[in-house]
Amino acid sequence: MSYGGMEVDVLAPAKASWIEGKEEQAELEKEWVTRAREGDQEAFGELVRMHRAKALGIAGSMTKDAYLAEDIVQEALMKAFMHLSSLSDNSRFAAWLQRIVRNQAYMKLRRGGPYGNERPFESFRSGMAKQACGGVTDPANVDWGDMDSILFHLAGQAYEASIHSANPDVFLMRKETLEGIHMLIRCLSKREREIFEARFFSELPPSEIAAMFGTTTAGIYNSLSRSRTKLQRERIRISIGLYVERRAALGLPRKKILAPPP
Amino acid sequence: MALIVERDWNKTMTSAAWAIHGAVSYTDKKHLTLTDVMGFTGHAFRMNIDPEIINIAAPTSFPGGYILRRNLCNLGYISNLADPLMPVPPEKLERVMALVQDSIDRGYPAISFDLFIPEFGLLYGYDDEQQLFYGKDASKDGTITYAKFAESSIDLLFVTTIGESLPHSKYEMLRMALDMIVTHARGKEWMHIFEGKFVQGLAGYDAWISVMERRNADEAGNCFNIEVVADAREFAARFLKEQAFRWDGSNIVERTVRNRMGEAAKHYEAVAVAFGELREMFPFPHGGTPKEPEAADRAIKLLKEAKAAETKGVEQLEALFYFMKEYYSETWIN
Repeated sequence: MSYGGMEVDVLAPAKASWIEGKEEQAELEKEWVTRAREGDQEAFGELVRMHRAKALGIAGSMTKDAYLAEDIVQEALMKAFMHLSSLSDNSRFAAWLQRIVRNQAYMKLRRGGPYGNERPFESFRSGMAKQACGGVTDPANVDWGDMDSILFHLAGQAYEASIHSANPDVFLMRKETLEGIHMLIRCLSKREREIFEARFFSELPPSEIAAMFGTTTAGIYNSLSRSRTKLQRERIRISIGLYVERRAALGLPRKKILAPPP
Repeated sequence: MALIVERDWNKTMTSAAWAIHGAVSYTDKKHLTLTDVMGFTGHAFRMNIDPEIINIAAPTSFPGGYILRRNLCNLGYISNLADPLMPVPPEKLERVMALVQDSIDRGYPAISFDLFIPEFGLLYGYDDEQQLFYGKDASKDGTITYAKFAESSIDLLFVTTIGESLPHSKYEMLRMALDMIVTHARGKEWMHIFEGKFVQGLAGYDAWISVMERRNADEAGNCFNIEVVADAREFAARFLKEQAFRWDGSNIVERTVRNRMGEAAKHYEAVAVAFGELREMFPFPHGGTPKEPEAADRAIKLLKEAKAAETKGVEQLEALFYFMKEYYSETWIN
């Protein structure tokens, strides 16, 4: 990947400095990040100059809307400036900014515009935003008996890890998976959810789960299979909702009906 | 020989051709009649038989993506296909829905499968607010929720759309149609996952006769297959007669088309007549008594007659196909 002429390989950031002629620029960027973290606005200005075009490109390709992309990049840059202190590795600024831009764009698209009324999974999302600023939930505060609380904690952890790790994609994917599961399990009944949790978290064999819930192994298999079907349906339902919102955000037609076929 | 009674030529038991004709009617090629579509897509000449019990699912058990796109190509269209396996992942579902919506935005309905019944149908409208598609198939004109659309009852989420309509010479159209017809009749059509499960073309007659000899025909399946083939061959005979009339005889190609197609029409008419009798014996949907020896033996006799006639018809079309391979010009003055 290339950001404003600087090479950054997300999977092996160190590689960037091997590339001849880029080393100096990478050093310069690190220097600016360090100065910006100390509150040097001019240094941050240099970083903005370096990465703005690339950030606009990303936001533009996601939203297909130049004005919305401008807004997103503006907000992302503000966020980046405010939370620069949470960036642990100064050489990873570009990848970090890119992630913020993407998240910001996703939020916009999901909300159906900046002032969209519908904010699905509001509490969870604002919680996530808080975490992005303030770090991981304290494990002592996690209610380990509650699926929501566990997933919330794990997702936060994954997000933090994605920022600090040399291999952030894996962690981000895990975070997104956990967020996904969290949304999905809402469609299960209490009992189905308990069985699903037993299988999902403890990886208990169905025979043990059957003993726990006073039913047969076949019953557990049925319940898991029913849950899987429900989860798939819920997953589809949510993604259709997001798809429709995104179409609206992109200004695509809402409705078109041709004359019925002969 | 009894002639085919006049019938409604705007209806067919072959839903694939119905759906294609429906989509075509929104384009610049709307002059193509259902008879033209049945003929040029080769659907009027198909026979796909389950060799066990004459299963009711056989007529639609073909690789839909391959056949329908080739059909659209025959008629002069660039087409698009979606056939992701079920359960469909959200990102693929979105792309399939976008394909349908894009087609409708361009003014062409999308061809899909199992909207209300397990046959081909058309999606001709969408409403994002209500999350509804508007669809029509042989059974119903109504709405389908996006969520229901995503839960395809077959093992893939099937959509074919028309991309662009291209000018196409009558030579091209006829040659490509003959290619499909002959390939199918000779059992050489690509069957994909259905390979070995069904018997296609002329060999289908032998499979059918064998089931009758074993007194093993499923009542519903047998009469449904008869309905489909009878309907198709009536269209085949009509298509051939119309083509023989339309080609004007002003040069060697025109005259050869007239002769061959005129000859073939007589044979296919005989096939249609035999199937007309079978249809009377095994009325849809109850299907009479195909397992009873007397009925089965009479069916065998009719199937043999039909096969003999169709074999002669295929020979004419085959000869015409090889002849047509050498000619390309729209107009030839000689």
